Amino acid sequence: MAKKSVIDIKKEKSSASSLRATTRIVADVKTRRQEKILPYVPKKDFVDTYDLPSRYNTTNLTLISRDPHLIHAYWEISPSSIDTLRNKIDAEFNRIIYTLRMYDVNCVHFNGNNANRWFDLDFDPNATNSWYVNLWCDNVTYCGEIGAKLPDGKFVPITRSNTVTTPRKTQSHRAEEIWMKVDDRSSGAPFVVAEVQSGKKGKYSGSRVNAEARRRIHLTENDIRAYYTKLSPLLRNILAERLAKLRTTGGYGLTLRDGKAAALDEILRRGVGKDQFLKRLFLGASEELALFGGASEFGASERLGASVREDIKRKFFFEIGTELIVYGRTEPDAAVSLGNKNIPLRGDGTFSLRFALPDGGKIPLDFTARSKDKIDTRKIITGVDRKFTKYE
Amino acid sequence: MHVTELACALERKGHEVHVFTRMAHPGHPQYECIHGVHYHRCPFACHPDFVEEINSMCRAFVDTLFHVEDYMGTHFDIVHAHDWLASNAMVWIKQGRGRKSILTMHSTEYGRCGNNFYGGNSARIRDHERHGTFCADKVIAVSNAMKNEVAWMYNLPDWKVNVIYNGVSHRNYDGWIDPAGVRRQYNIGPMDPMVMFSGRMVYQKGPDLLVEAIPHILRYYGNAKFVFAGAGEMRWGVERRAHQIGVGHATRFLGFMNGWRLADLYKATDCVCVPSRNEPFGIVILEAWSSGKPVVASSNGGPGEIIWHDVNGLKIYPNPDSVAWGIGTLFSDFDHARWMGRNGRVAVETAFNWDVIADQVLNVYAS
Repeated sequence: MAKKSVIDIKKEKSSASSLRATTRIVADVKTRRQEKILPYVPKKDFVDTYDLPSRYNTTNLTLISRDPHLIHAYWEISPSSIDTLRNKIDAEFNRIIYTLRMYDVNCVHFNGNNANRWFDLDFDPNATNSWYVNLWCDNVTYCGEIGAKLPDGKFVPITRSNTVTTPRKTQSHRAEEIWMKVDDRSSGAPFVVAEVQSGKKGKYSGSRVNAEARRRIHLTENDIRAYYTKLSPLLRNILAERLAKLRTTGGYGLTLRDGKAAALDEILRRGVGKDQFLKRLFLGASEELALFGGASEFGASERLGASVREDIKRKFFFEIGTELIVYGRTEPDAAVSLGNKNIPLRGDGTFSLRFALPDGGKIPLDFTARSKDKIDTRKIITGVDRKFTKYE
Repeated sequence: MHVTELACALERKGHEVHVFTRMAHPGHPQYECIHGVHYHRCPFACHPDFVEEINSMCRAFVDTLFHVEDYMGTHFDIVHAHDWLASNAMVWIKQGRGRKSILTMHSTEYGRCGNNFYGGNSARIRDHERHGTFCADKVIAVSNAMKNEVAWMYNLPDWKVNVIYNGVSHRNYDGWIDPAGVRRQYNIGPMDPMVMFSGRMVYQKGPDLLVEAIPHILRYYGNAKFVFAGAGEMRWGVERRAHQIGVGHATRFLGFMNGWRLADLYKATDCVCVPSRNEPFGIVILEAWSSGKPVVASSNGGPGEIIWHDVNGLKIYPNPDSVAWGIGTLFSDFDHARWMGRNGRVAVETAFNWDVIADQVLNVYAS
């Protein structure tokens, strides 16, 4: 039975489905799988033949909120519960009224007695087993109980329902801000902050040190003092006033408190120059600091005499400085010395020197040049003398 | 402290100064003349409510001042009150006898509460401040930031508030001590890079930011040490946090320090860190500069104005990463750090010593 005949298979198919079939069967049952295209089946309408039972024989009451003002309640009371009830109140069982009691339990842990308020809805258990309860508030929490109300008003509960909260009808009344806490360390990995400079390697070390060195050269202590005197506006004004006064009147009268005039000689004797002392006294502490560089011992005294500094603070200033350049040449391998100091030569045997030339400075220049084999020696002796300087 | 220094400086300028203060302890003499300044210590009744007690203190001040005036026969030219504690006294003197009044605001209640407007006593103190600034002829603020804050909060016109920076007596920090000897006392090696935090350990001053930054710094400078000199509500929490993140070995919590011990610490450290979240002025910076040390301070408020970035110190932001950047940058170049410290000393000598400040205060008195 290697192969079935095609006609037989077709017959089988048509008997199964009762409609036209377009079936193609790929041959060879043994070696290959069969692929089929299924026949077309029309949709059948779904008919629900399952009916919900009318009773479950359990006693329960369920509340569902339907909209802000409506709660839907449905219940069932099983016969066994009715029997229990009958046993409890046997005398007047025929005159009880079945009641749905709705308790308002906003913000309350309901234990049967502590509701905020309640109201009753009487019903006939044979007539209905569900109700839409109307409320007059939105956003309230309710719990219900079905039970029997006796003619004298006493209520005997049968079962309690779930607690339900109706939704809000309007926008929320809460308007406070709730801040989100942002944890800015959530990444966890530490930042790379400063690189340790180790020698010359690393782009960080070289340029920054140079930048600092460059910057350091340009900022002197005077710049810092100038910055800080201008920092506070009041200080600026005071200094400007006093300096203006100083320039116009040339100093003001010396006022010493009584008993202190004798001390003036003492101070002068101790070695502070009279000019310096009077300058300090006239100007007052703040100007002295601004002009003469600090009340501290670190260099106040030697700077006081310099009148050049005073000129810096005025608007119009004039100052000069002198330097001396000496240059020369000899054989490249010779040795040149100035006095007893050795002067290094450039590759072609030339050299040049710069000297600062302060006021009253004398620079002796006696050069000695000795050839490499120490045979020849030449000496040049000269000197430069800066004479007096007059400031007017 | 500030009042005594200012009083001495004014006295040096040749003015007669009377300071009215409270009795620090019951044995204090009621009148003393220290360095030419007359100190009147006024006794007053205690009260369970703090604000009410301050009120009674102010009444005692007013009473003593009127008595002194009557006794001397002359009247005071200027009445200068500092902060809300004395502002009521100033107001009542002005209302009683009409003297020219100046009020110095060192900090506001809003700032002391961490930039919050609380109710209760805090609101009463704010009312005191508002009334004081309203009644004063001139108000002195310790920085431009404080001036803006006070003008905004208490609706003061621009001409009424002057800015005069705080000062420090840099002489206290003169002199050389052996830094290695001081460091050995606290178990710090002589060549360890050392950072000092000096100040009250409260949320405002931000010691927790420094502690959070320590691991980042220790990664590159393993022997760095961090000294916390100060007491406050956060002190134990910060200490615990330091141990928690494993950097307890590099921190030293010294509690409250003052006097020569503190000055020695300043001279022995390499850098002083002020990571405040909110700082009206920051006298710690001046103290550090007096000892010739660079400062790494946060840029809001006072420090932002007085520090010249990269010349006197480094300005950072109050978060741990910025603190780590500042300290790391400082440690990477100690020569630059020493240069910055020297510039700090120059700055203090120039603009933040008491004579200069007294000049400015006299200017305000005269205006």
